Amino acid sequence: MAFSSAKSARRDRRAPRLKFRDERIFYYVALGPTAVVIAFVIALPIIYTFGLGFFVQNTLIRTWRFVGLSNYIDLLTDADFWFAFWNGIVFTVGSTAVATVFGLAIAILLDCNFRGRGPLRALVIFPYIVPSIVVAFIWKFIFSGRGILNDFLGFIGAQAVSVPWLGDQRFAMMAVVLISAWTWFPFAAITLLAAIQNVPDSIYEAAALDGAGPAKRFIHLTLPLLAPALMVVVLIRAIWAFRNYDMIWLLTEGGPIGATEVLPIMAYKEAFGLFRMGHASAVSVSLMVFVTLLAAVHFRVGARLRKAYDTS
Amino acid sequence: MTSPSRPAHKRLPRRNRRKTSAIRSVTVFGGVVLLLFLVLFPFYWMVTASIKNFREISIERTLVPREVTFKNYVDLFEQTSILWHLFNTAWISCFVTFVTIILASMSAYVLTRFLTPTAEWIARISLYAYMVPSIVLIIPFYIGLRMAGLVNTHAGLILSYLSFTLPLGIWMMRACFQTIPKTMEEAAVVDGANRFEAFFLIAMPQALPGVVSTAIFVFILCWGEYLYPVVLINSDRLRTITITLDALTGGGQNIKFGLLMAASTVATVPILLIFLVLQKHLVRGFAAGGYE
Repeated sequence: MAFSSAKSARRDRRAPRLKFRDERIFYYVALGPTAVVIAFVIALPIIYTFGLGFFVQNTLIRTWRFVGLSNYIDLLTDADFWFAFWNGIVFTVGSTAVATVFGLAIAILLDCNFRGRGPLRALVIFPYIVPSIVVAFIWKFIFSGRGILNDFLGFIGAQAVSVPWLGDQRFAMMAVVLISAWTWFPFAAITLLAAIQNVPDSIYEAAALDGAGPAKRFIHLTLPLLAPALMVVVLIRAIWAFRNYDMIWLLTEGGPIGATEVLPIMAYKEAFGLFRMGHASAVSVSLMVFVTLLAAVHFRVGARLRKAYDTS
Repeated sequence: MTSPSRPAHKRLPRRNRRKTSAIRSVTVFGGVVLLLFLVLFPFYWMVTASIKNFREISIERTLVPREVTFKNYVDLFEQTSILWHLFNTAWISCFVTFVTIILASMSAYVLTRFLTPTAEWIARISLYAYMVPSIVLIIPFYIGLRMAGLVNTHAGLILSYLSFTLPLGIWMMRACFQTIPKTMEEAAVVDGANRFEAFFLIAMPQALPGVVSTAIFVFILCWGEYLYPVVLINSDRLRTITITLDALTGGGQNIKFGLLMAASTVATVPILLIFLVLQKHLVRGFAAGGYE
């Protein structure tokens, strides 16, 4: 979207539509406050963080020392940093994949005809809008060592299970991935449902007449037609997963023994646990670089897909 | 729950129809039941745990509470100032939503109607800003607000909330204004109306559904925000609801789940009310905000 508007803007630049004085006044009145707020709460803080990454600064002892790239060199040679980076990738890929696959299944289900479909479509959104801290606490309760999940597993397997899922190094990441996917699948489900509904019925009709079964229609029709929407869902979800802080922090605080520590948590601990602001800034800048790469892919792919599928 | 009637476009040749439609209804029915269970059970477990006694929560883990007690709620209201925190959260969220809607609708309108290079840059920055990790902004906020004397004030918190609500608002309102045809405004301008009139009297009334969806999403985001209040607020009187919940865990291993689930239920009720009253706008907002 940004790119398509950029193009039309370039076309229009030669003839700006601000001929009249009141148009100009409106332009500044409407855009001015937003520009100021964005400058103060987004642009300046980002620049500040970038700058701070070159300093050693401790808020407790109030020291400022320029150290150049040494914060970054520390990071790139720090095994913990790469471990957190890797954890972030595992978390991102895992939660995005589970949320998207599950969301696609739900979208297909919600496209079927059955009574109560309308309320169910709305209900599906609910896990997404509940505060993340509530989601985290509910699942912490369910996944605890003496929680209902272990009771259920014990019931199926006929022997007592008492794994503290979030406190066990082997399972913590898996539990965090599943819980995040639970709160994020509505986004995929609703977006993909809208895409499915956009597919003209006549295509399915023709395929059915030609003798294509449901499985064939799904693989050869639904999936390719949904590809652009799927791509967008995956990219947006991946960006949000990689930058996610609160869900993992509230579930495990990055533990046990760093098993679920990701870059945002590392930055948070550096900043507000150790008060090493320079170091923390370096971590968050590297995080931002990765997110920006993902965002660039998202914009590019989005623009290209819109162009390719902009036939309707 | 399911009905065998399916849309005309998916009708198969007559011979297979009955068999496949039976399989299909069973699958759909199973899917619906599974989905309902997955979505609802965690909330059921939260609400029932909040009215169980300690024995039933931690030792017996009964599926249906045998004995209903409101001790958890009594404890909650006695031990914390949760009502005060609810009030804080509500007014901050409402105020931020209000400011966001005003700023976002005006600037989004400009971004769709006046295609200047500055407007283009603001569109790009706000799109990108929505993806900037909040952890990147929290360090400068903490340092800057402390210098300005705004740490541990609601004013500082509101400013920090704008960093994520404004990009989202611009994003959603922009999508909304793009669907509104310009012809009516242009006709009005030709007839002698100025831009202010064209915006307030012609464009905004048409954008009202988009405004409602955007407001709901911004409010929900503010309501559940955790990172900014946990860093920027430290006195009990100024806390928001997420911090009330956070403080209840106490950092220890012995979490009182009864108390915690009661607090979670209280924090969820406003969201549930919004959901029940405004679900139509929610679904539409989802399509507008997510599909971009």
